[in-house]
Amino acid sequence: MKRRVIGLLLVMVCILSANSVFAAEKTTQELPNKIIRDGREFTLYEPSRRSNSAEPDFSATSDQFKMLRDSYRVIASDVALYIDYSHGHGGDQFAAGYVQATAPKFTARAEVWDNGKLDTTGSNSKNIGDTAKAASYLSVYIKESRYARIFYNWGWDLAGVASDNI
Amino acid sequence: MKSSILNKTLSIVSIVSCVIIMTSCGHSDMNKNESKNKEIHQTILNQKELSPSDSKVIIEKNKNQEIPSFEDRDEYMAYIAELNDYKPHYKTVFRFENLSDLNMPTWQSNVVAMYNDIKENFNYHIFKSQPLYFVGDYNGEDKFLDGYIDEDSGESTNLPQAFQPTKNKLVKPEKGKAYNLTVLKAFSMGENIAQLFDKDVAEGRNFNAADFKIDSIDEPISIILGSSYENIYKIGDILKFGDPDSMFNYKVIGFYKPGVGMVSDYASSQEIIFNNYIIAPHYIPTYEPSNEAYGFEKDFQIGTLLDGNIYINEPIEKIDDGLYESYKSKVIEIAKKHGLENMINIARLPADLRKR
Repeated sequence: MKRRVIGLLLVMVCILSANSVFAAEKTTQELPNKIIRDGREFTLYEPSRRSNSAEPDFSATSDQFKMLRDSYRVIASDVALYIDYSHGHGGDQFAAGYVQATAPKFTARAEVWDNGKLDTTGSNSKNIGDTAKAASYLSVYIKESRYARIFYNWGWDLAGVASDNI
Repeated sequence: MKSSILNKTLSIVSIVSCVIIMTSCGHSDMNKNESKNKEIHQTILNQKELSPSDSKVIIEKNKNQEIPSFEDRDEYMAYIAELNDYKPHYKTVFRFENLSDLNMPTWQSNVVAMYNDIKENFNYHIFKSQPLYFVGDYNGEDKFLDGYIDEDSGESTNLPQAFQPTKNKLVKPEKGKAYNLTVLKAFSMGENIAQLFDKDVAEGRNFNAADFKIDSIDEPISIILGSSYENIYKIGDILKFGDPDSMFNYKVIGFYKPGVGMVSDYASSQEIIFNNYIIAPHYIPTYEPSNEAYGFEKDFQIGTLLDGNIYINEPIEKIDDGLYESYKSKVIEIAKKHGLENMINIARLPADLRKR
């Protein structure tokens, strides 16, 4: 009977811990509908939105890196093109987005691509809390074939795996 | 028999208690969520208070401005070719997302060597947004917050990174104590950009070569403050920025004259006026990190040496895909020398970068 009680307690502990894990991983972020840039109002272009598409590009990781990679995960991500149609030349666009992750430290970078080529990029940014926000430079004039991408990475050096002293 | 009844009773009690616990757990989570939602709602409210749309931003600037219509890139390039002060650059970025695949223990030294090589081969400039994190209760003015548009200072953008200001945001790390975080407007600049401002420091001094290398975590990083900070801090003050696990000392070495700044980005000629900004040197860190957080800061600082801008020497009318490919292959050739060919990318559209 003691075993049953202990078993039951273990099940309850599991349920409780699972709940707290899920509670901790709910996204609290959203993309703003409008961003002001150089006094101009850029509006989120909904068709270009690519939720949960952040790219770590871990293609050929070693076992050590795989371990680091798998230690954390992305809770949510979002990226979209922001467009201003208001001014004379038909409008401009740029990419903005965020990556929300469980890693203590990570980076993000937003870019505008067109036909497999990098049109405009932004600098890499660091996370604040569990979120890293990023925006690209402006892609002047509107081009329908443009799309937004967001990249992230974490943990390459958290265990000193890829570190050297310079 | 008694044992069987007892067992059944225990099972029922177990199931009921489990359900009760799960339900209460759910309530507890709901309460937590409600409280979390309140917190988020409050955060959103706070952000709304500070959002650009509520800060009476005047968007009239371009409404009356006649800008020709561009159907494509050629038309746009023809337009900027006529602008006398446009300084075209190809923007480069370090691909952190590929670092895990690099498997190169000496990558930091290689990046620094590549950075030096790029500086030798090109007219290369670093000028990038690098907001500073203030930990504790921030009681300063909102105009210093990254993402806040202070139109009185001529500001007109809440980019490049923040979208919305972060002021006294409660951060709850998985390890360690919760803390309040505020993100302040700041840029980092390379040595040759810094030299452009030799005559623009009202008080104190401009950056010198020694400011671009940090050998110890305790060594203060020199900063020059915008003119709005002049009555708040004085030369020699030490400010602390970072997060609780990786805090750095920043030493005030000067103040810029009002209105000093840079122009960055494309036709929009986005102006960054330094009045409300903290400007730091993009230094090369050689310190030994004492923990993972300092290790991350060091890696970030080194990787972003390649988040820069290569000046395009050719006349603007000659900028086309062919020219872009030629610059790109030169950069990749240099990267290959250092084993970093997958670690850098170059944007196709030229960007403006110059002193305001």
